[in-house]
Amino acid sequence: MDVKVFHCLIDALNVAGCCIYNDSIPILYHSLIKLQSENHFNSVYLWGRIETSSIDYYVAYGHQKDPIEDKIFFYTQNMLEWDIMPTDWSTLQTDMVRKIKTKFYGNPRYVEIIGNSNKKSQETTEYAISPNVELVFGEEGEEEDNNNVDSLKYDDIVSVTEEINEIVEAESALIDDPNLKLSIKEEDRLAITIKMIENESHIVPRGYFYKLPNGTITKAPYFKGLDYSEIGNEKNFLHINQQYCQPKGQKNDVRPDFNGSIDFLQSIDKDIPKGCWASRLFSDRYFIIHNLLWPGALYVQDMNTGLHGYFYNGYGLKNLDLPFMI
Amino acid sequence: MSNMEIVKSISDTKKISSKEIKDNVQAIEKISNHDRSKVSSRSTQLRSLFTCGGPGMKEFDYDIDINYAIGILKKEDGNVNVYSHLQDILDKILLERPKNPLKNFEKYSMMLKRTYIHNDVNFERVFVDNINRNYCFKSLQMYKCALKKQVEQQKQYNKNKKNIRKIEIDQHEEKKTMNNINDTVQVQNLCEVNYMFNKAGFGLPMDEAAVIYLTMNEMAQLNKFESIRFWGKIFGIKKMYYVIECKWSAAELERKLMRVNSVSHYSKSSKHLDNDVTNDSLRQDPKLIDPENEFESAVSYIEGEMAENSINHYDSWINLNDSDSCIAIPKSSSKTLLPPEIFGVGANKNVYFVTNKLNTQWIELESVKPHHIVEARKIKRYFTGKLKNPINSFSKFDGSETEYLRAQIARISSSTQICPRGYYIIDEKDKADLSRISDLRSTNSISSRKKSVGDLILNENTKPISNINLTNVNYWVHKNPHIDINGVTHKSGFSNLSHSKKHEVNAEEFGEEDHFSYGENVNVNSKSDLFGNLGNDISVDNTSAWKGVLCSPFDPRHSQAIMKSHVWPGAFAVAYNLQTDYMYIGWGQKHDYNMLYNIFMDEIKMENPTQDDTFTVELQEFTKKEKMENETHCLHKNKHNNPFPLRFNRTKYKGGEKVITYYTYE
Repeated sequence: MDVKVFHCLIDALNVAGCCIYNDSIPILYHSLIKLQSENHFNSVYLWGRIETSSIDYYVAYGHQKDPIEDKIFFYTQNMLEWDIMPTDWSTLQTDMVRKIKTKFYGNPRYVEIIGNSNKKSQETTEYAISPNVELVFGEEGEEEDNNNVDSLKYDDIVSVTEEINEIVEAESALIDDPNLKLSIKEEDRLAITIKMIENESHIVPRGYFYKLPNGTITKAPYFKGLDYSEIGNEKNFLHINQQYCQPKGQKNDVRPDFNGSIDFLQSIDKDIPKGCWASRLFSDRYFIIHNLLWPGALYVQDMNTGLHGYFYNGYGLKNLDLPFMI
Repeated sequence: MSNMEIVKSISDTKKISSKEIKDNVQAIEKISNHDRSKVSSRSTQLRSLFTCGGPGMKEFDYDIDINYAIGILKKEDGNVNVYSHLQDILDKILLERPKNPLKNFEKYSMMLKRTYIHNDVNFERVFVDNINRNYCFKSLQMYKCALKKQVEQQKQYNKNKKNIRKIEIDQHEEKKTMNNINDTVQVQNLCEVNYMFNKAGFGLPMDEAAVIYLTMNEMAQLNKFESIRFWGKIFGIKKMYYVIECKWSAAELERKLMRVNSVSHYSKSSKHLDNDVTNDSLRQDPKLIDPENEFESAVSYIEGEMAENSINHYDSWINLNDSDSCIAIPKSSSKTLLPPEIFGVGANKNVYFVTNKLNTQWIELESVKPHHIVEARKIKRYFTGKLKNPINSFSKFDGSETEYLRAQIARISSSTQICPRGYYIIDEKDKADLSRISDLRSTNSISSRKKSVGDLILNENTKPISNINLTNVNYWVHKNPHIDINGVTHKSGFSNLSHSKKHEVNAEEFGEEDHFSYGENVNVNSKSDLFGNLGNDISVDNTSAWKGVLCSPFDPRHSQAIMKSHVWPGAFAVAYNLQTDYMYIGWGQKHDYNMLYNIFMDEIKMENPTQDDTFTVELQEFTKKEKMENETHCLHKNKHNNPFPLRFNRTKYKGGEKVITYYTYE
């Protein structure tokens, strides 16, 4: 959600059952404007909020030129100072993030430890990646090598803040066998989770972005939002992530009004599982799409003014039960 | 002749006898002469429908002036009314001259009605681009009605006052009672409360709040409820549910219980009679409305399509549901089903009204049955937003979405309706009243377990708890009794030790039982703990079940404190000074640590206990050790087969940002 339309969409977010404290709205606004001016961003967006069991994370991003590729993410806990999100991580870490099913702890330095004992769900899911089995095994081979690298890195960090680690161990008394190999800092987990959510559930209306002949992507200056005849069709909503699950077949099902400068992104109508987007018109004015796969991700548009935005408000956990629930 | 009879019956009941229509009808008769035989059988049916609609009608319909009758038919607002509609239909039939007009009469009527709506839509496009005008009109209609009623009330009140001046002593008491009636209905002050909710980030948008508040006031005037509050919203895939929570007033409860008893004693005919009685008490003018009800049931399928577009009269805002769910149970033969709790007790303490759109009818949900709660715990499904929708879940849910919704509401309210400690106390003096109710109940129900119901009343001696303390879970207590594994509330009130022990055993057996257990080590001593302290709640994944936050960390002294539930995401309670309230806005799903398929596996095991020998178990899954070995083995193998040298792999991951493109939908 663009900071500039932030105030206008608060009501719409309320309709969608979102949760920004009224008192923190001005604070967020000011700090985001500051963030924009300091980093010379073209525009800054409030991305969403990750609820934790203590202090919540607010996440924002900005971009300088390319609104799709150049996004830089920030997070904050006190709403005043924004920290840059880490961008480097290994496949091992992403794997681990996929396995963690608990809420965030609320401290970026907290170290999540995956014990070997409590991973029934993980065991069943590990080999479920059917299409490219060899690739998976290859990666795991690499993982083992990477383990050394990672643990080296990790040790560096630990040597600085060894106390924290001990506290953590004391706290996680329920995990019988804390294995240092399988541990991840919450900051990294946050970054990876947000990247995942961003890739899978961030959508824009068709026509919002367009591609110039020289390949640069810009926002359409006179885009007025979708109108009533267009919101019913899922093809009018595009994933912001360009690489999103591109179909293997040729493009034989191109829409009749295909426009190369607009339709360079993937539309959401082929997403798996079918029906993971729930779109409704609330109180005769606000059009809201909820993503059911990542509960809390939503696209909102005010039909009267055409202002629209994306927001995430949730635990940062994927709803793996979705196929059973719809 | 038969056609004439129909016409007569129609004109009798509807009080039309205009010359024009008669002429028209004669023409129809001529047209449809040849298939009279078919029609005659239908006509008798129809006639019986109409006549049974109003037995008292025939006595007085002849002395009504024709012009007056036409006036009645033309009474509806707008350019379309019954009179013009009938005219149009007859015109249409005469023009088109179909073969069997009676058979398709409803169809014609429907087609015509559609054109009316269509006109409306076309019209609006011209002036207000794209804004749905109907929606605004409906809301406006509501406001108009409310205003009208308000004025009437004011008049009534003034009249009473005048009367009092004249006959002071006589009227004094009556006035008192009248005021009492108005005062006893506690309507949640949504405007005020919504301010707090907004601070907490969960507020309702302004237009919703206004309309809901209006509806609640409207309901208060039915004099059936003791208290009314807005429960919250539940999102569905297609539509959203708004839920209002009401508590029956004592008189209404008594009436309902009486009816349940009488029904169980007498036959069905008596039930019918009873129904009439309730209708009498419900509506001011039963004679006018009763036949309409009968009529509705005959043409309900038309209504289904029209309901969306018709502007409802304010009387029909609230769809009260007077059928008794209590009797429905015994017909399911299984022995294990418990009877539902009686109105006003436990999970059925309150009654819930739901709607999809705020300016249409509110529908009363039937009281919840224990087996529905038990079944609802096993499944995890999003609501669709259609009450009639069947639920196709794996572990079977016996019922439609209505029952599922009611069960979820019961679960959520039981586990998330909370208040700061000491704000409410359990009412002792109510005991006599309650014992009477339970007596009534015991005569009716199969199980004669006694239930003492603690009714909560506001504690007048409360001191506000400081904000910092309000964020601590130990300062909050549950307001509602816990629903146990059988789907009924256990013996309520503050927990005694023996009971808490029993409960703990239950909680151990069914690991993911709903919410709180009374730990013995924690202080359950005080009465102010009502139905259990929040600090004792069990959460799903080792973190606490609740999270207390201050709304604005920059001004902690004057900020509201919120309690948010982690178990039911979307449930929250706000407190500031002496004000406190709670609401639910969410998907109606419990946050589960366990994935669903784990539960499935257990279910299957439980279903076929015969197959539960070692052989199948081994096949089903590896033991942990084996799994580990297998993994390491695989890794070793792949390491040797790895075609790339090590350093390449390392540099690959050292590189810049890596986009995660494929991860699986596990």
